[in-house]
Amino acid sequence: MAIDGTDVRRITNTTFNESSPSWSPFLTQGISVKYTMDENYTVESGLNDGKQSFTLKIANPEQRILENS
Amino acid sequence: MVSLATKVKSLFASLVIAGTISNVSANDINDTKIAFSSNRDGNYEIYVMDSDGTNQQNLTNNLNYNAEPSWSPNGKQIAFSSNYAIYVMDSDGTNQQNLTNNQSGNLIPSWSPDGRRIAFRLYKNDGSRNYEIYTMRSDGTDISR
Repeated sequence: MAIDGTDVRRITNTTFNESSPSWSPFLTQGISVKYTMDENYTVESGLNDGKQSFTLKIANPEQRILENS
Repeated sequence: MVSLATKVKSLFASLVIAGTISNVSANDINDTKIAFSSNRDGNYEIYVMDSDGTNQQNLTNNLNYNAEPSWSPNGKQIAFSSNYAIYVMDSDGTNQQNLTNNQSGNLIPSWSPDGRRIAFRLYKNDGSRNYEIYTMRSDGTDISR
């Protein structure tokens, strides 16, 4: 069921005793990043959990690189 | 003079070497599962199933009383009680290992959030006639009351 007690679902349906459920953890496997060396030096990045994503773009790569150099 | 493209490549190469980027595809993500105990084969066993109830699988399949599964925080192991001892096994049922080789009743394991220790209920056959909470390292050492 949901954590507010709603949406109760029956998962097993037998004539036996089923007990002690333990849910496996939800794991974020890693962070996925891809970048393209095009004229805009675009960087795309996202959390690889299938639920969240974001895009990061370096709008002015020349300035950023100069600051870091 | 170092080109801009080379500097950008070097920057990302440094990030990858530092381990801050892991290029894992979205297809590698596991759906969550539910472990549970059932006596459907005549005695209690540890089963796992998908969270919608499908793909049910018996992981223990022996004559012991296997109950109270607890999934490790990293999802790789399941602790459970078996004939009043605390066991761990890989989440596919392999590598079953008794962590509590004693004459007491060890039940209801529960992992610490960092996965380093397991708390459990212990009943000593010493006349005290009550349950106490103990913890131990996930390898069975350092049992502490």
